[in-house]
Order: sequence, then C-alpha cells, then structure tokens
Amino acid sequence: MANTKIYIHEFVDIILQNRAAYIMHMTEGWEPIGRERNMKCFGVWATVGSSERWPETTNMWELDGIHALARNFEIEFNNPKHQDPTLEVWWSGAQQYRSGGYDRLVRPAPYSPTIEENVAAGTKGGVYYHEMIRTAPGQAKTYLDMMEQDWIPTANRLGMTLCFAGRSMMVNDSEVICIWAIEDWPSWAAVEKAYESDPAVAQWRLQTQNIALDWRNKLLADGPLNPMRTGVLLPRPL
Amino acid sequence: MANEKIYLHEFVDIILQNRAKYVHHMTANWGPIGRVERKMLCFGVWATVGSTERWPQATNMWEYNGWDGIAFSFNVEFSAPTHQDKSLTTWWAEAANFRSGGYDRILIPAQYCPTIEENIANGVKGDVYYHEMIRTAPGQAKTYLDLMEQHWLKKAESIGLQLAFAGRSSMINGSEVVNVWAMKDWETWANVEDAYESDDEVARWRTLTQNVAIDWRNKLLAPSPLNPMNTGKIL
Repeated sequence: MANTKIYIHEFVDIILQNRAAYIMHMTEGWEPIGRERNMKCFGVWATVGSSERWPETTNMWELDGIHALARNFEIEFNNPKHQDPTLEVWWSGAQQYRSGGYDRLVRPAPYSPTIEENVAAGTKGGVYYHEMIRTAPGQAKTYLDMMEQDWIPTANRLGMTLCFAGRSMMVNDSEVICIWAIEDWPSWAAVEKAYESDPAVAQWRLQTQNIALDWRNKLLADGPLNPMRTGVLLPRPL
Repeated sequence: MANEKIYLHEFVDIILQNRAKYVHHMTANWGPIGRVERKMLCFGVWATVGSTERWPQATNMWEYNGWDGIAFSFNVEFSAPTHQDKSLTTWWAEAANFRSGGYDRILIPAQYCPTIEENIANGVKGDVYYHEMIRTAPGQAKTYLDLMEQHWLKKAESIGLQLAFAGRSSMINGSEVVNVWAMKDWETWANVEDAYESDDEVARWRTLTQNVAIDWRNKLLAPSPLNPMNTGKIL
C-alpha cells in the first residue's frame, strides 16, 4: 500500500560531548509523548562525524499525514509559549544536550516503507547511509520514480536496504532524502568500492545526470533504542 | 495607494529555550522607544516553526517610512561611538540574554503590498503564517512580484492564503523575493499543502514562473502573542 505518512526530518546540533545522552533522552522518553502526539519515532541516529558535520544527530518522526501534523502543530503553537505544555519538562531536559538544528517536512515516495513495515521486514543496519540529493527544479519526484525502477535492485545487490525515500516539502521539488540500512561496516566499505567501479552504478549516475545535480551523503549509527535496531516501535502499539 | 515603506527583515538565532521570552521582550517593550524615537513600526514578530526549518529561531519584520525613514533610524543607532542608541541600551542588554545573532535584510515592498496599518484594517491575521523566500533569476525579482499580482494572488486567496507582505531584497542582484501569507488556522495550512501537491492551477502557476523562480525555501511562522496583526494593535 502506498505510504501516505508525513515525516519530520531533523539535523540536530549537539553541545560538545552530549550526543549519546541526547539520543537516550530522545528515545527513552518518547513513549508517552509519541502516544499523546500520535507521532512515531522513525529513527534517532548519531551522525558519523568523519563523514560530515559534527557533533550532530539525525532524527526522523512519522506522522499520519499532513492533517495529523497540522493538529500536532496546533497543540504546540496555539499557546503563548509556542510549546506543548505537557512537553515542557522533556524539552528542558533536552536543552542541556543540543543547541539547535535544521528541520524539514518530507513526503515519502509511495513505495517508501513505514517504520512499522521496516520493523516487520527486519530492516536494520550496523550503519545507515543518509543521502541528500539536490535535483533539477521540479524533478525530485522524477528521481524517486527512477529510483524505484532502476536503482533499488542494484542497491540491494550492493548490500543496501531501503528504509526511507522521500522529497522535501516547501521547496521547489528539488531535494530528495534517502536512508539505506547496511548490514555492517565491511559492507559499507564494499558499497564505497562499488560506487567507484561497478558499471551498474556508473550506468545509474549517467541515467540521472541531468536530474540529480548534486548530492551529499553521510553515515549514521543508530541509537540503542532505535526501533529498527530493537524491533520495538516507539511508542509501542497498544 | 502604492506602498512606499521600507522593511527590515530578520532571522534571529535564539539561545536554547528562550524563544518565548525573546518574542515577548521584542514586542512588549518595543512601542514606547522604537515607535517614538526610531519611527519604526513592528510589522511582526513570529516564532519560526522549528519542524519546517532552522531552530530555535524568531522572524521579525519592521516597517519604516521609506529610505529616509530607515536612514534616520540608522543615524540614531550608528552615530554613537558604541553603535547603539543610548535609550535602547538596557533593552538590547536584556535581549542579549535570549538571542545570539541573526541575519537581516532590507526589503522593498511590491507596490500592492499592504502596510501594517492596512493589514490590521483589513483583518489580515492567522494562527499560522507561510514565509516564502524565493530565489529568482538575476534581475527578475520585480518580474516575479508583477506575475504574482496578475496570476497568483487571486488563486492564493482561494486556497486560504491572505497576503500580509510581498517584497524583494535590496542590496543584491534583484534575485530574492520574500512573501508572508496569513492562514486562518492549522487545518487551512494542511489544505494549502494538499493544494500545492494536486491543484492544477497551482501547477499552472509553477509552469508560468519556472524560468523566473529558480528556487525557494519556505517555512511556517507562529505569531507572538502581541503580534500587531493578531492583536489589532500597532506597536
């Protein structure tokens, strides 16, 4: 069935050595909040500093579509403090670990698995590949369609399992975000080698060269309570 | 009548949990000094909705009586050796507890852009505002604003967007447009997003402007409790 959820994607700037503490805070305390907000934790990862900005975490949250997200924003912003009153303590706890961040709302490709589907399928990795692809204006959807037809089978052969594929809202349909699970670090090394020399990869790059204008990828390591790692949804289903 | 004001637009970086305190400080304490001494009206102070872009952040806009008005204000501010006007020293010191810096722009409004007084008189307000920053081809910002007036305003209104501001950044190559739209409530915003995905007239507007609007990045804003458009009271 087509994925009709909406995702909040976050890059979070961590204060000094607090990445592990922040990740625990976000996942350990999510059960009651997520239930109240009807918002599932899709994943909270440590960004592998050697592969991009640090110290940073990458978070993703899954909501039941745009109208559900609107109701969530209403709870949060229709009060003078612009904070959900029931989350005040939890947010105060987070502020010692992070200074800010950059968020995006992301629409999934119809074939992108939900967190429930990822967990049910046993999708998990020792490491995750985070791709942010800048496409020609208006071509994000085209890129995602091409991915489904022409790239996913090759990516699977190389050891990459799709966890998420979608496009940023509120921009000119020019930004794609994908997350792939890779079994372990040696498998990641094999992926990088294939990116250098596999003819099918070269073919994919050639095929998308006027659509994918630029990209910047990074590696993510999942938090101890990440649903894909533990196989337990956050919040747990009632 | 054509809008001949000039606007200061600010993205302000907030320190940790201080966004609510900052927006309150900026609005509650602005009027007496800012309006009287600097002749500078608060157009709006909003919390940026973090899930849609950088956080924690506030977005501020101020309205001046044209270039002469803003030059007068800068003169008050920068002729002092400390580059701060004396009567605002305490006010600025207090604000420094809540924010670490920011990025400002000086904006020239489209002729049809309403002033803050007109917005209040027309009852333009919302629980949420759509902030658009559009990068156009060099020199085409004005063209885009003209196209907006002719081909987009009516449609935008029909899907729940009320124009609060439309203008272009000065001091650059005519390539940046900033718009702010009021939306009645959050459900209206969700409907706007649905329309942006599937409405044929929205698609036509995108096609019409595709060589003029090169790129854009939008975000949502929540008004501060004392936002003039929401209270109906000029600050």
